[in-house]
Amino acid sequence: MSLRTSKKDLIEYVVTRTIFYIATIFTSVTLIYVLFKFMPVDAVENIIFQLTSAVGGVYDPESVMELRRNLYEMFGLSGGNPIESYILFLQRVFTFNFGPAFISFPTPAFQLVLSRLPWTIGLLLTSTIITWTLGNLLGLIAGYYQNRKFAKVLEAVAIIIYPIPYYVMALILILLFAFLIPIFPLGGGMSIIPEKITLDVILNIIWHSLLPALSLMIPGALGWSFISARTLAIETLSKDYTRYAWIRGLPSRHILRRYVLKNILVPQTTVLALSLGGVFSGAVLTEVIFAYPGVGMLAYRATFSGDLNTLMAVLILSIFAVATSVFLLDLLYPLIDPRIKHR
Amino acid sequence: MKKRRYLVSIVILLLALPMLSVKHNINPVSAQLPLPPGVPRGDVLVVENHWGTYIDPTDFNFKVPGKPATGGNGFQQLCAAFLWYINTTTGKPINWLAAGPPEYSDDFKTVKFYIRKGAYWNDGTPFTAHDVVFTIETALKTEEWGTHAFAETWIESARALDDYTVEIHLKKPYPRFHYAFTVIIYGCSWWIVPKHIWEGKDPVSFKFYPPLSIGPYNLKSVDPAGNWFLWEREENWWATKLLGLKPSPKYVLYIHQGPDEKKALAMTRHELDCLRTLLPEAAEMVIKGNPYIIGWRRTAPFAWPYDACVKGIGFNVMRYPYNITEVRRALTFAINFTNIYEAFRGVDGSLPSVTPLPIVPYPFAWKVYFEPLKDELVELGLDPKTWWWKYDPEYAEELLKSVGFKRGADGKWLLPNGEPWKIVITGPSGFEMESARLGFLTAEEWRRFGIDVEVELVEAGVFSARNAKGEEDVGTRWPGCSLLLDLTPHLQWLCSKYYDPLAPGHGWNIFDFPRREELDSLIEEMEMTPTTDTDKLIELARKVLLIWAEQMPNICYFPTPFYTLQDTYVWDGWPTYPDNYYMDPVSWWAQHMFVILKLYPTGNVPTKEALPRPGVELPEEKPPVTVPEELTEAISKLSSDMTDVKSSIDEVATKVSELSDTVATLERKVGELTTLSTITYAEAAIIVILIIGLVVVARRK
Repeated sequence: MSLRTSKKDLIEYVVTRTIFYIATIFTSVTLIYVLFKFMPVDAVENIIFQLTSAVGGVYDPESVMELRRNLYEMFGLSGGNPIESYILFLQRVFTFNFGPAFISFPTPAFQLVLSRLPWTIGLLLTSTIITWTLGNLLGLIAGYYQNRKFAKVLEAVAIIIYPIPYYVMALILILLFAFLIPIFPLGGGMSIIPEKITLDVILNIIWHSLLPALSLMIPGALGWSFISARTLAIETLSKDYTRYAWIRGLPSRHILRRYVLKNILVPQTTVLALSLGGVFSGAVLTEVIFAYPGVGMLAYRATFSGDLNTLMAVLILSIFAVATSVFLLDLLYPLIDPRIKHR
Repeated sequence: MKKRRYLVSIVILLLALPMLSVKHNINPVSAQLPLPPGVPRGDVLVVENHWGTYIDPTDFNFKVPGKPATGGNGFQQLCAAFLWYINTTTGKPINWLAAGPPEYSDDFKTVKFYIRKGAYWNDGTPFTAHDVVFTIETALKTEEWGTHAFAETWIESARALDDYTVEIHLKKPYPRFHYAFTVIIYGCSWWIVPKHIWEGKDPVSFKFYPPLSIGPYNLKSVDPAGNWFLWEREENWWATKLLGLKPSPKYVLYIHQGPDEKKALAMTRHELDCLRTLLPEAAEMVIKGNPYIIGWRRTAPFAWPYDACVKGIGFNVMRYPYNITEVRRALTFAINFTNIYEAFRGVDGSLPSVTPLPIVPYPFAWKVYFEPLKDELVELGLDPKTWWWKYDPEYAEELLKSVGFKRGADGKWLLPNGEPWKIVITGPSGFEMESARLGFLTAEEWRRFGIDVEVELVEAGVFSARNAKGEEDVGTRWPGCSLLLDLTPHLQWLCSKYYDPLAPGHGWNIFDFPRREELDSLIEEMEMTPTTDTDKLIELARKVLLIWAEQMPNICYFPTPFYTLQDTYVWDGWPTYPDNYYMDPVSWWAQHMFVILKLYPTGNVPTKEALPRPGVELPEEKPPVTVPEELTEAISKLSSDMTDVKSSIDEVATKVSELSDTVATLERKVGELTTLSTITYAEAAIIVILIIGLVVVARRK
């Protein structure tokens, strides 16, 4: 009886989470549609503006009028019934066919996003995992040994670094390690002629991504991850069950691993899942500062140019990634924390 | 406590010392540039990719609009096929792939282009009239091309009369049809495509990669990340054979380093030879940090004052109260121009070139338009001392009161209906920072005059849309762009027939005022006057400018100064005013090819394949194709012989260069040794610090 109930609960739990997952995506996508409708950007006018301001007044006015009409037609921006366009929008979203990119016509927008994705994943996935692991580990140790000198030093450093915005950190790192002590390049994705993929090419790409990664990792690991893990560790140490473990005379390593770490993992895993989902939207400012060719840079270019198709592709991918991470996390929670039941 | 502080100071000092010495021992040109193995810095010209990251760096089909700029990756400077260029310093044409000027029929409905004999694509295929005709016909057929609209509007048909003559029939008379095929400002969308490459391809999805060049360089490599493009010298270039031109740099690298601060850092350590512009703070950093920097002038002030567009403020004349001429004039006379002008004084003393009119005050334009109109402009309110509109708040007040405006109890201006008058100035955010600055400065002037003003900065996508659709009251604008002496293409937009309801802009071209018909007919007359009838064109343009000044639909300040800095550490021969003013320092314009052709290595860094100082001048106006074929062949043979002689000289020069390389390598080795010793010193310092730390800890314990 109890086994059957448990199985039923599990199915009910998974179904509820799946419904939430679909509802989240549907709501976000609809919001994006509404947002796009109200966005005061216009890709056509942006192109015309660039053309006419680049060549000054040397552009025949009659041709510009004609070009404007052609472009509205070509990009499918000539207007239409809002309900029809909403249905078309949903169709595009769920088939991942976002139409051509205006900034690289007629290349499909999604193809552009896919071409930039490896750069972003390479940079952000690695830095997010390292940041999370390092930050939590240091936070845990600093919390556990809160009265030791090194823990106080770490805390002081974290308090100094935490309020520094990551883009300011990026500029500081550039000045230090790309100018004063030039051991890293000023920016870019690679500075080697890539005739074929060799170890040199791979090392060159890694070399270029180290400084942007550091600019994300330092404020991340010594910032939020560290501070939250430390606070949670201190809080857990003051709980009755931890005190009881001390009284029982359990070894410190055991208490640290089984009592403290396990308890701080639950909220920290949520943060990790959300950050991993966020990887797909790129780190716009970091990518712009380091001229790094990721999805963030693409989103920046698309926004600047009013290329709604490309922007839509980036946003929708990001929505799917974050929603899926949360969905998977919901399914995994009971495994991480046995206190969470399938209710 | 004192002891502790003392210890900390010593540690800081010990840490700081090695860092400082490391900085001074860095070889400034040990650049991290994407070059083929073994290529010395002295073989490479490094130009800023002003566009930034190219989303698809392998897409060279710039015929489809919406793509990145053609000036960021070097395409228009080093590779594209253009028929004519305008020399930015004189406004005169340079016949390039065209053998001479175009020939129009009397009714301006037929035009002939003569193609230069002996020019060929870099794969050896001759460049002929068939390439031009193919480009025109493809534009006519392909709606997705940016040039389609122009072709559809003007071209009836095009055919090749022979390999070197194109005849184009126009739908209606157009005496300046060839302007579309001329590089005037920045670039030209009518670059000619190689027929033998494009034929049979889908003109929309074909990426033209790698692009077949007809310029002095071929594309060698691109960054998959889209930040840099490397071009390699074409040793068998047609212009070397026909005109004796050959560039010195073996490679040209177009690279995007990131925001202004990073460009400045790169230029300070000689990793960037020329760039588009920098904000004054970043420019100051480069000027102070790199003694080899020059600009538009060889010595300060460095800024280039003649960017092709005048920056200023635009009034939306479709909106109240800016549709009242007295209001626009009052707002102009309420500005103390000196405050705005002085705000743009650069750290190096650079100042903008003032213009009260919507045209750029180039030296040649000054003589033809500004000085002759001086008396009439003074009558309209020009202050001859500043060459801008007089600062006359009393007159401004008088003008406003004459149309019902009044001041409130607090001294602030009220609309005629008694409501408070608030002006919102829309400006660009994140780009064209100078325009945003002009918005704030103007707001300050109007506030001082008693008007409530707000400045709203918006991103590019929003800025252009608002501008085009007229969704603003007042905006920072580019009231006029010009480069040619013939102002027709620069002023024709003022004519009411070009009003587009889809994009009315500030509505000036449908603005109704007593002289509207006269203005329209003047512009129509200009349009029908051949470009060769210079006197008539100038006379008509002056009349149009005076009507404009009477109405003041915009406030023109100046083209904002551009810090087009050039580094003379690796290369020299850059154009400078006034001594070597053969071209403007416009590295992002197609005309920059002519600058690259004049550069030569300074010898400060090792070179291997850079050529010595070129001795050939840029081509001047060439006669049309009336030269007999035998003579052309003879000249070509002579030129080829000369090339052989030159190559012998080059060989000697190469040997000398190799010798100098060896010396430079030795110097570098010595430098490396010094750096090594510094690093050792830094390591020693760290060890000392660690020991001190350990001793302190041990003692405390």
